[in-house]
Amino acid sequence: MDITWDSVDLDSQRVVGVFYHGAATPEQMVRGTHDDEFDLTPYVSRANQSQNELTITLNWHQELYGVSQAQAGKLIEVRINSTMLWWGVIDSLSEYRHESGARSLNVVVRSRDASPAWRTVKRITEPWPVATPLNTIANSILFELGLTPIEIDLPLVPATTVHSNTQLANMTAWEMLEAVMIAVGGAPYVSARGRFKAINRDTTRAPDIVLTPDRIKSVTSSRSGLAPSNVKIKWLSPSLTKVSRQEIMLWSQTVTFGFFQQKLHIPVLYSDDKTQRVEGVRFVTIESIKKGFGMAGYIERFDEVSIYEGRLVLRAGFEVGLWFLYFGVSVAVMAEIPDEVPAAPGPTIPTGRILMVSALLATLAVMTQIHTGSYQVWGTPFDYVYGRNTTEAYNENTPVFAENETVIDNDFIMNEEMAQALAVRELVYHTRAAQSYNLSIVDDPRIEVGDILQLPDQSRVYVLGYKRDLTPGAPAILDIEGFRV
Amino acid sequence: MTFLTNIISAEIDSKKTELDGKILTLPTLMVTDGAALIYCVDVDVGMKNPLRNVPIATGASSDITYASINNAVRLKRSASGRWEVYAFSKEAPGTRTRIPIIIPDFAFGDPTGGLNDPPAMGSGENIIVGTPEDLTYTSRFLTYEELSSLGGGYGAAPYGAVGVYKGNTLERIV
Repeated sequence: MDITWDSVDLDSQRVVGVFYHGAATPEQMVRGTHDDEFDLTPYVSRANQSQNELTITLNWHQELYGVSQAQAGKLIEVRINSTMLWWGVIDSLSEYRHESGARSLNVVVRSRDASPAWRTVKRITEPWPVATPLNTIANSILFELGLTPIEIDLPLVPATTVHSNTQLANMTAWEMLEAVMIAVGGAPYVSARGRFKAINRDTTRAPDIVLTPDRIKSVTSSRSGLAPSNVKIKWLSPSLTKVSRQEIMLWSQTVTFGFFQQKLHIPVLYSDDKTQRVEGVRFVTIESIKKGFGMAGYIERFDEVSIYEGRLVLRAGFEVGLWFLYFGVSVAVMAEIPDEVPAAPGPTIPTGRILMVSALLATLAVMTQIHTGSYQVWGTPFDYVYGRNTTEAYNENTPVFAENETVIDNDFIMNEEMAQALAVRELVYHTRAAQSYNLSIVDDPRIEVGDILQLPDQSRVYVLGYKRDLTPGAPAILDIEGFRV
Repeated sequence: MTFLTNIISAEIDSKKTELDGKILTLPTLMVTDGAALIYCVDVDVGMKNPLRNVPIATGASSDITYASINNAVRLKRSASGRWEVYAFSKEAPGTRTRIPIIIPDFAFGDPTGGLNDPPAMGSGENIIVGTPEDLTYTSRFLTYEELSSLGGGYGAAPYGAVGVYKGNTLERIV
């Protein structure tokens, strides 16, 4: 409801003015600082205005040629009793007639949001981090459309994004705004004076305007279409769920190890690309290298490096290499030791050979320390997945044969309570919208789309649209389209 | 959201050839002729009832055969129109909650019938919102206590039996 207006008094005269602005900007219109008006009122023979559109027929002789003539893309303003009622952007000029003594032209003017920039052009937003207020996202989209802060009138809402890197892509600006605002029970709307607002989709709230019997001219109602029996909200859960698979063998290998290597580290990747996470890792020894001759002191173990990989460690006793070196050198040294020749004639005492063979045997004993080990690594792969939750509100009174489902996908839902509130609100809204309720009442400029009007018989109407005849001499009647709530 | 947006979403949904689902049972051999081995699972796809006996596609990764309960998988329609599990997925059906509501209908004309001081219509007073019901499908391995008390006593169900739950209600033991 536009609280800057008062309702039009009964039997009062409504003074309508139509003005052309060739240079004013939307911001100037909202601020009220425009000063380039050209008064078209004397030339208007017919005018009809609704919340999104104004159609006027102009008749003139010579006055509207040149700079005074309306051009597409410029602004037209309507006033009632010298107060701005509505302004829009000229969309089309048609049916220009030029005949002796008279010229006429039809002009169609649309509200600023009824343009391809809002409704057709696909856009992409920047990514928003977690806990970004939805107001920030809505404002960002509106700034992208060229609006300034003075042209935006959005209430602060306590809702934020709950996912990291939320981004809207390949959607029109209007679709983006609908997606953001429906999560908190609103819908996008551009007011008659060009400011972007949120209309409330809650049909159970108190009425905005209570009409008295003298202001109602007529009421027409109809019940058409199958109301939805249930509304499903599909939303991405903000928390990840851990899921584990069955234990599987992740890695197996046969390794030959021995005296010739002091240590061996073999990387064990749980997946080829090292992206698979694993828990409960189990190292299984099929054949141990310790069974090799003299290898009981060898070390074989498995180290878990991370949840993506591990490491097989084989290590010889630190002294094996030293022994091999020692005995190898001993062989060479012992080879220099000569055999002994006895003082008395007799066989040569093979002292040197005995020592050399002893060293050689010791060296060979070290060289037998070589064996093949066979190992496996088992584990339980796990991952984190997103849950796509479903919250459904259904009408218990609807019979099975009248089932009619509506599904709404929205990832701006923060929790189950918010999803339930949205599901209930939308089911009530769509169910009520099946019963149209149209009124003709004495003009009331306060009424906007989304308002709830209460009639004298206590029935209530949710306003979806309105129109009024602003032709000079027309009665001050407002025709309202809506549905019963 | 406008009705047009919802219609477009429904149309997109009807053309889908892939679904995300959540495995409810361990992969089990379905049928074999001695040569072909077809493993199948029950999959929750976020609808009223789960898909039963969904085969694991022939070309699927062998890791799928070792999937466990509550794993997220992706299903694809085969050429014959049958759903098959062919890969793991990053998204799965989560919770499923239903809320019953009673919305009274309006009659034409004066709802008060000429009465003085009529009851208020609309304003939400005649709309009754019931208790939300949890209908989430989950699976888990039965505990020792459950093995002894469910399905005919201890020994009726083997160790490692899986219970499929709808909300808090045990639907069946697999």
